Amino acid sequence: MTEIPANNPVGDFLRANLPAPWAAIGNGLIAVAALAGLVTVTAIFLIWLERKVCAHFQARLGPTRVGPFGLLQPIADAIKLLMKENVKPRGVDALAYFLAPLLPITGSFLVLAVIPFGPTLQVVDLQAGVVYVVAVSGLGILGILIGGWGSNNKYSLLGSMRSGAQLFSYELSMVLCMLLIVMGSGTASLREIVLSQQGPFWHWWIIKMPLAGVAAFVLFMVSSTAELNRGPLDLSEAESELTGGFHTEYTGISFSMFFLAEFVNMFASAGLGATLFLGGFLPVQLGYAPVDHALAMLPGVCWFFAKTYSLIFLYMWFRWTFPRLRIDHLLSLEWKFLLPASMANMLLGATLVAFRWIIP
Amino acid sequence: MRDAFFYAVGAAMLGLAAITVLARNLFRAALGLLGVLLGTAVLFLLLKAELVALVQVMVYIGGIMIFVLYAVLLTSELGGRMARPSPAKLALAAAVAAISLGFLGRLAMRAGPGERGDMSTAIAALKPLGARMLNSGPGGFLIPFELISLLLLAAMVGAIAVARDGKGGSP
Repeated sequence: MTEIPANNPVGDFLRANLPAPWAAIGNGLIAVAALAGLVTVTAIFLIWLERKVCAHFQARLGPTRVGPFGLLQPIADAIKLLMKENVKPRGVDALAYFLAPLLPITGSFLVLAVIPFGPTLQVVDLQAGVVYVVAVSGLGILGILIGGWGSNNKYSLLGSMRSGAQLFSYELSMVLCMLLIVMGSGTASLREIVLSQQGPFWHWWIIKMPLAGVAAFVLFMVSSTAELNRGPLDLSEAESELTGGFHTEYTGISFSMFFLAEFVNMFASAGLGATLFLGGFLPVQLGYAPVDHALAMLPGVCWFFAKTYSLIFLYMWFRWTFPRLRIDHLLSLEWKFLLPASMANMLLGATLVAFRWIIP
Repeated sequence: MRDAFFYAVGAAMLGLAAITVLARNLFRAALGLLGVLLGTAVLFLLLKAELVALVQVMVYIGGIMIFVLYAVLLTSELGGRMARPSPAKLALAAAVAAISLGFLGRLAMRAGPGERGDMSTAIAALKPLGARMLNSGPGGFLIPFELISLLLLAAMVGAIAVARDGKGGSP
């Protein structure tokens, strides 16, 4: 285990040249600005990626005209969405209607604050990082419930009730999978979880904890797909039956807030998966020294993004390959299969940890 | 600065609490309660009890408030107004409020003037709290912890028994 410094040069520079309270405020502002930039760029890039991946799965080309490979298409989309009128339908509860779109994006923004993007790139490393992630992700459910009710529309209300039930139930098995890793690594801080996976790739928690790790990873991917409202588990939108679910009435910037939150959430959740199971910002090491040195040359951020985007590709692959489930199938999948399975997996993991049957 | 922040949060919480009890629209009342619970989490942060603040957000905002909202959404009309409570109910509520104010006031009197709370080191950090939670010895919470789980299980079974129809068929 090598010690990896946590401070980055920008933060050190401010701390060295400014009095203490101003350095803290300056660093905080830089962190928030960086996150805001990351959120915007990620969302725009993911929209493009989603359209391209979808197109190629369906043997089409996707956007090609606006810019090279259609890269500027999402910017055109964004301008179109922002130019649209922000309609307030008759009979809506104005407070609820305009408050709701802000909550999910706030939640996903807050989750990004604890994700270690690189050894020196993390806004704050909380001792209880995993608890924090679970706590702030509740804001998304709140936004969907309030928005669906505030829209004064039966489809919206039905959609938001459904997605409330869905998000609430799938959160259970997702949290159980995260707890397994907390148990294995003996810490709830995301940075320390990453640092507990140092060494060749069989030291990542997905392999390090025999069987239980892989099972937890699969369960995590399935339940987080439901948490993200993505196909095949996108019952809260279900355009074929509910004409869009909770965001039926939303247009313009309010709709794009929900949309943005969904894409940023996907990034955050894939980043969480990479952090917990795939060694986060640590480089891939094959256990063969010359190759390992070359691989370790690449900075941690690159590894983090490579792993995260592989998981994002997996989410997209799910979405464009599987047909959508029915709501009762969805709920019995969680309560009759995923939850018992993650509990059993938790028990298996606890046994492995207690008897130290973990790859050293 | 910390004091000014404390008073600002406290004032906001009082205002939101007033909205919670005075709003005639059930949904507004629920939003006020949401704000009060968030304010409580901020107060815990001011005491440097990071974990307690996070658990406050997780349990109350992510759990309880969602159920409260569910209840509101299922039972109330958009823009509906509740009837004014009867005098008997008002008197009962005032009595309960006075008793809890007296109780909490006595607790608050125990702290000396100018004393600052700081829970960062002693008990509220993740590891010592976790260790105490699963400790059956003196100062441990294992038995209350298990008893509460039993109570919750009983409540769940009771709820299911009440909710399902007598024939035992699928719902």
